[in-house]
Amino acid sequence: MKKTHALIGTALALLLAISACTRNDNEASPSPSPTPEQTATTPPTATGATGTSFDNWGSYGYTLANTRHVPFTEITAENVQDLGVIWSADLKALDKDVKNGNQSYPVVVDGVVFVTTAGNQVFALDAVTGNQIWHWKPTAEQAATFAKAGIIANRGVAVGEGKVFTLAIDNSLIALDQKTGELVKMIKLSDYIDGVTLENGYYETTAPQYYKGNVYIGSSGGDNGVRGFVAAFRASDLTPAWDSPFWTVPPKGQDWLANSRFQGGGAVWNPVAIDEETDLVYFATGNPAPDFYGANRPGDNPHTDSVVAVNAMTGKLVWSRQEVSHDLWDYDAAASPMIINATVKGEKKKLVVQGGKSGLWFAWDAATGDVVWDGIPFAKIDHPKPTAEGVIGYPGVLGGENYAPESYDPATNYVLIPGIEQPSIFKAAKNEDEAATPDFPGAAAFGTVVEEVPDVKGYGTITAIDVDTGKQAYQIKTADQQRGGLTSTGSGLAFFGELDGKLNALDVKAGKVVWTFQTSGDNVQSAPSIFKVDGKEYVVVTTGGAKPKVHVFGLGGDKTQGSAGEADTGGAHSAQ
Amino acid sequence: MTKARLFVLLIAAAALWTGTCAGANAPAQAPQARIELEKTSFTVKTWRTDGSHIAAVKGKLICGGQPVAGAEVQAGLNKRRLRTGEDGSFDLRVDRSLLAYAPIRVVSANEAKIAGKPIGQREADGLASAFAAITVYHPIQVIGEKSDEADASRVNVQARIRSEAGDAISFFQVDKYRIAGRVEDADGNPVKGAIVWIDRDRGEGFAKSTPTDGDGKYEMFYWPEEEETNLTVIVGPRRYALPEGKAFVLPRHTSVDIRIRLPREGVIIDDKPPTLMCETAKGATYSGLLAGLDVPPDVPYTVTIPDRDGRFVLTVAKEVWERRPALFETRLTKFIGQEKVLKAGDALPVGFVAANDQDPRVIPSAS
Repeated sequence: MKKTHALIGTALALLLAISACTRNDNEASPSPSPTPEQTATTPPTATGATGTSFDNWGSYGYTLANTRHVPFTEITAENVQDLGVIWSADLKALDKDVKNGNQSYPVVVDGVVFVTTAGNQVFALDAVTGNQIWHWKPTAEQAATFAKAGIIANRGVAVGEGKVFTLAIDNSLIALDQKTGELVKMIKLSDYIDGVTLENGYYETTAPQYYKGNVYIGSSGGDNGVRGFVAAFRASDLTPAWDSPFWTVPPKGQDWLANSRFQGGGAVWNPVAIDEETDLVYFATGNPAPDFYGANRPGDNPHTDSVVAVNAMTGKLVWSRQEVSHDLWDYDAAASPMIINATVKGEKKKLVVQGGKSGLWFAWDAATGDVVWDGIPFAKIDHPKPTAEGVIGYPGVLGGENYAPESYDPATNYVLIPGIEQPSIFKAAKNEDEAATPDFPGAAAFGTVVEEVPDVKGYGTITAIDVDTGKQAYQIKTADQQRGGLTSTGSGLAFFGELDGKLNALDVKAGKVVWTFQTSGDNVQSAPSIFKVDGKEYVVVTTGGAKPKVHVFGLGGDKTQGSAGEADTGGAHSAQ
Repeated sequence: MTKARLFVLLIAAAALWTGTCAGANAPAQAPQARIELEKTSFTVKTWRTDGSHIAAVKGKLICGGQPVAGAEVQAGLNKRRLRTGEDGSFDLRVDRSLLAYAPIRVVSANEAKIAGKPIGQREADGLASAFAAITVYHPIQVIGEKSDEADASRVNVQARIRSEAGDAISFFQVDKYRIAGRVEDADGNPVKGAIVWIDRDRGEGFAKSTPTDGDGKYEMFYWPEEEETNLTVIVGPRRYALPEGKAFVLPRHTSVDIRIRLPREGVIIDDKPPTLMCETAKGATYSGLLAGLDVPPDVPYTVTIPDRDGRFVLTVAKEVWERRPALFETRLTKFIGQEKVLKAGDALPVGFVAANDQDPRVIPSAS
């Protein structure tokens, strides 16, 4: 716990002053020809952005299926060495109130990159030049309340109906004008969902998703003992789209929480996936609360550490499958699920797949939830039941797979899993009083009965699962924990960042890193988004640490590299 | 069917009848409008993993005997707006695991049509008065009545809040304790905007206070054990802490008052009076289900905290009780600053339990 304080203190102490936006004048001339994958729906003059044709990265996971795979082929293993920085933007220089750290997954629509910051600012930047189109920030009065939550990360926006939707730490849902950034409407979730307040342990870090007139959200706070939920709001006026949220766990005092002081957890703290053919929403749920004390939450604690499917229009349960029964190790199903059309045992199937902090990867039939691959290990698995004295368990509380999303490459039929290989010492609370978490959330609340295992240095992995066989095709090690996620391309590359600020390209089939670039950012804690403007392919990624930035790469960009950052492996749960 | 259930159904039928006749209060020229629901009353059913605690309810909006299409109705404040279909119908999903009283009204008739034609002002006026309601409640059974021994003009009504077999109810009980106090500067002046942290050196659990107000006062809620904790005060960028190696011992199962005086120099809090003073304090935060009497605020009555079987005692003037007023059920969370820990059977003071608009009203059944 003292270590956590020290980390926070260190982060606050770091100061920096870097130019706001640097642009490489040597960028390649854009190709004027539109591509077959063109998805632009808005005339360029409407956005004020550079370009005339756009291939968008329209939502958190590229499409609502969250596959994070683009069909683009301009950047290849052969020419990737010519990749360089087209522009970068220092978000703190753009606004001094931008907070340290960044976990924003950029959304790119019609030539505009939308990124959020820790502390809930939103920037709309010209995707080709980096010029700021608009910028929105909460009032100082609102931002002052964010300090009640120890974590102020944000993972991005949803775009739809001419609006940009984002969630703020204080459990606000915000709609901004897509063209101007002006506030259209902001609601407090607690006005519509009873008890969803900072004081009750809820906070928001996730990106919303937009689909068929609705905005879909979950929340953080499972470790504070909140009651997890997914809710839908109408994009038009931010009024509820369902009669009630889908609650993942019972109300306190009912069912398996009959004798518990806690609301049960099961928070949905990463974006949902949506099957546009069936109107089904899939989401992954977090651990039950209290994390490491299970005596007063008997049974399986269903819907926690699970993937759940509900009807997008009503929120009605369709199916639910649990990854870890009666979790005592904080093994959330954290990362967003993917919906993939893959080959399984020689036959095409639509699957929902998800890798948990448990170090296990699952695949289910998307329609029925029938098990296709049941808990394929991608990390060391050895976790005895926690004792008061403490036990060493693998994976540790960070996973396995944390919030970092997977990608699916249809050419190889591989799912790529960003992993963390690091144990923790788990210490069980002696009783529920000792397991108690507070009303007021904060970084120091998390994982305080876990400790790092001395003399064991964690590292990261990328595991390729052959969906046809359910077996590992390969696993590579990375120096640091994989905390950002992967994004693959039609040319057989997968891009991913590292905690020292590097951006890499992996040859998906070969399992070899073929390109590494040291950004001028501290660390990468999100996955890149890939888009095209006027036929040219770009890779955009945010970097965090004490100097949050946006980097956009393209062929012919500036190859000047930054100095190596220091890996921020964070404390337990700092990923959430 | 038990008598109690039969009685409840009769109430439901009466409510529906009232809903259908609401149009009678509209302007004389307005046609009658009504909201029909296939069911309006539900007993609480514990949350189920398979979602079976969610009930599907069909409704229909009728005006002048004809279905109204394209209108928006809303069940409860800040809930989903439901658009009526061509046949005037709409679908509701009712969460039976939570107490509720949800009035249903027409909230928009801008695009409403009857027989394919946009409605006029008369019809809109009629729709504005259409009303129905959904209620989710625990049945309440009167077990017995007797004169109050202390005051013969009052009656003690013994009643019981019921649940379905095997379903637990969380009644009003201690939920958390309060850590409160004041942060001062070295001269004893209040420090505004400071945040006080309590966290365990080992083991899960921490609490973070509200920022101190203009009087330097803060509060937070916690379940303290007798254990060593860290104490930290954050004022802007400065973090004040106890001397190295020192821990704070919170007494078990009680609220406390901690007065902290910050040092003039440095960031170490001197861990002895008067710079650091802690004393036990009265009270705790309670939370859970209570029943009350649905009477005007100036009508005094008391209720006891229900026991684990839902049994409680209502004490009220006989003349009030003889009018057979409804009861209400509410989930209340409240800090009570008294030394004695309240428990089942303890009487709550007059005025303690108050209904809000979303609380269900319940006609108790006879034993």
